[in-house]
Amino acid sequence: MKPSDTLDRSPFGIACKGVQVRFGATHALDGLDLTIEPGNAVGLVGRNGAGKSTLFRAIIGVEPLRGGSISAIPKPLPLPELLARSGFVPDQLSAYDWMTVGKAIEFVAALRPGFDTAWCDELVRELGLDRTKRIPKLSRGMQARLAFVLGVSHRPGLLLLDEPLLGVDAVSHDAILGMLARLRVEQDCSILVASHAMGDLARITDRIAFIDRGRIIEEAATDDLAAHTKRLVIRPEPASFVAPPEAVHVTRQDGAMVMTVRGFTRELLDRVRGWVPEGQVDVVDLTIAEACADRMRAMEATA
Amino acid sequence: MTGLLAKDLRLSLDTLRPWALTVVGVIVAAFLLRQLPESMLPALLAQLSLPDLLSVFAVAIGGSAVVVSAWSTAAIVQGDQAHGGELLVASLPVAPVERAASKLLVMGIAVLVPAATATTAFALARTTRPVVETGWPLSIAMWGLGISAVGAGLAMPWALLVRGSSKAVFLALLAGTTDGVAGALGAWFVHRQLVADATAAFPEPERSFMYMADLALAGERARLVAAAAAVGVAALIGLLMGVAAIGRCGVRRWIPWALVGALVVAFAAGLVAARSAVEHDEAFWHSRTGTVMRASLLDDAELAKEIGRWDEARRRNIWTVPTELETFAEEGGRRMAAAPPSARAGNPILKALVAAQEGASRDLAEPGIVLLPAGDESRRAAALDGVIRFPESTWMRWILSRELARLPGAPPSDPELDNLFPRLILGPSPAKAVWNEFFTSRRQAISAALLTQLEWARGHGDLDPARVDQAIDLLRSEPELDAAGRDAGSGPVAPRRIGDPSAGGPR
Repeated sequence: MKPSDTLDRSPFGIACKGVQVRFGATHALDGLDLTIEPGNAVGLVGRNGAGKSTLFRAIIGVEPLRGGSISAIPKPLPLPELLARSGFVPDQLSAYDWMTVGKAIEFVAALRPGFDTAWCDELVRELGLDRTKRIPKLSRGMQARLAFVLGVSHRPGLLLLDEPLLGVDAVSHDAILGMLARLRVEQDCSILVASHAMGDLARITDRIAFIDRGRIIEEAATDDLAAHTKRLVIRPEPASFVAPPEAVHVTRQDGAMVMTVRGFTRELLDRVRGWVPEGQVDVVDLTIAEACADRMRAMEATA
Repeated sequence: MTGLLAKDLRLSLDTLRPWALTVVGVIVAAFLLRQLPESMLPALLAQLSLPDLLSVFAVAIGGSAVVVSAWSTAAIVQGDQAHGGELLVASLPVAPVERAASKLLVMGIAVLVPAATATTAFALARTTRPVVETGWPLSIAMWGLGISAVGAGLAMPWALLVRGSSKAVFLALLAGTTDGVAGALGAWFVHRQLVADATAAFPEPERSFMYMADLALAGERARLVAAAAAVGVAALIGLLMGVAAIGRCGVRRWIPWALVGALVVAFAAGLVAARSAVEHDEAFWHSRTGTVMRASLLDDAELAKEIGRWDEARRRNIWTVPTELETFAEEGGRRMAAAPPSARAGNPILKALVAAQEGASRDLAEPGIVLLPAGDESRRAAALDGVIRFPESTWMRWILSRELARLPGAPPSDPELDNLFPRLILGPSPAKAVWNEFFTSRRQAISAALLTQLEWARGHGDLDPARVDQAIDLLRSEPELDAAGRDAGSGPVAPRRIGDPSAGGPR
């Protein structure tokens, strides 16, 4: 049976409610709540083993849920239709080791309704893939490029990207980001992307969700994250203080206290200045990458 | 579906490659061996013909089919993961039914391979030299297919639970063995019940060892059937669970529970299969033990009917009476002996036993009379009839004398009536003349006492006086007895010893 050439490519989102996935006694996802609105791009940030890949596997139905639900929004879709209208790019290429690049593409094309051959050819050309090369012979970067091609060639309404740029060289890196941007502009597709490259997330996402031990612990709009997260450098280091609830991460550096705060306000700055009346408090603006990195450090410290 | 099937067929090549190598290797080896001069071959190999080799090959393949198909199944189920395509295929929009059907189809082909190979080898062996021990290719094919399917069913859930084909096969075989043992355990309970039922039906429980061989064999057969059924059911459960899990119906996490459930179901299947095996075990139910049990289960009317068939058969030819019919008659006799006198009146069994005595020849009447209940009027009447109709039968006189002695106030029988061990009296290997003398003297003593009892019975008891007179006349007409009877007429027959003239009675 040849798959249908027509595919509904309209964007759709995903609503995860109280999702639980267990591996034996380990709670890989422990009541995770996350919503990706149609047309939105959400970045998923978390330490290794936080549950990012498991969430992707749960969405595509590989991991059975022990609790909660995952459904398409605004209209729930049965799993085969959800898979037909979404594209998944895993963190490691998944393709049969006896295949060549061309055969892998043919295999997917045969089973994917709405596979866009012209778009696929363009992707292959742009990313410099050799169709005759066997899968085991591909480098890490080439594998990541092929995974991307296999995942997006049908122009899905929802893209699930698990570390899509791992091992990719600078040229292909930009090409992939450019194609993602194109997909968003042309189709307004929804994206859930996990990455440790915070700069990339800043470029392609609307919101960022922090995942830790199988739960989403914080969500923020990408722009707000940079605008409202500041680093306060307090000199000298105060003898005693009570960390405010806005503090995300506190560290000591060269006799100074460095405190990253979320939801920075004038009132908070005055409060901190009160700790060191004779001293000095400098306010440093952060990039999104730095803001996320400090949030990650905080997660690391509490783990 | 075509793409999916092509992919799964490609995965199945992993299982076919060693197969192809094995087959080619065996054929090449057989061909090379045939080319060698006989002097260079070991004696055993030199005697093997090509059909023999093919048969050996087929047996080896058929015997190992359970392992081979388990391994093939595990390789196919885990193939996506082993070849790096698990996530790719999982992310493709394939309906669960298609996903499962494609895998099942390929697994079916893989399972067919051992059965087809063994069958082909057998068929070739038969073509070149038809021999009985090779069996019919079709039945061999069905067996091979069944064994292969069991291997596949057992391996399927384990292949989804653990990584590595060899681990899955090992666990599958272990689980299959456990399921078989569970089934045999179920059969053990059934067999225990059978032994209890049989013991209750035995006429002589203290001699139950006589029945143990039949029961033990029935138990063995039931255990084998139960174990096979248990493994088969467990394999079916595994197959269904595996198919459901491949179709991604969210059932994978239930597989451990299904395996535990399969064990319980295997036990239950063992119980049911063993019960059915026992119920349909023709060899057992037509054995001595089985016949005794069947007879004990019949109601009186059915048993009377069987006794009628027994009588009919023995009147046709006493030497060809089926053992089971005799068993029914014995059961009837036992049932009547145990019944109170009030329950005997009008009982169809007693009627059938009495009818079996009426007009019967001496050969039939002598053994048949003991089936009538001792102390019962029917036995006394039949014995009196036997005494009259068969004057030469000492046995009938013995029975009648005993029966009359039971009546209140009746003269006793000969005191040595029950002495059944003449060797203790005569010593080992007595001369023929001594034997004859012994038996003649016993007959005379029994008859003398009986004569006295009959004279008493003329005025007492329930026997027909005319028939009693007839018997008295008969006994008196025997000259030797007449003298003895006169000697003993006024009292009990005096005990006599062989060679002791003072003991009295004719010599």
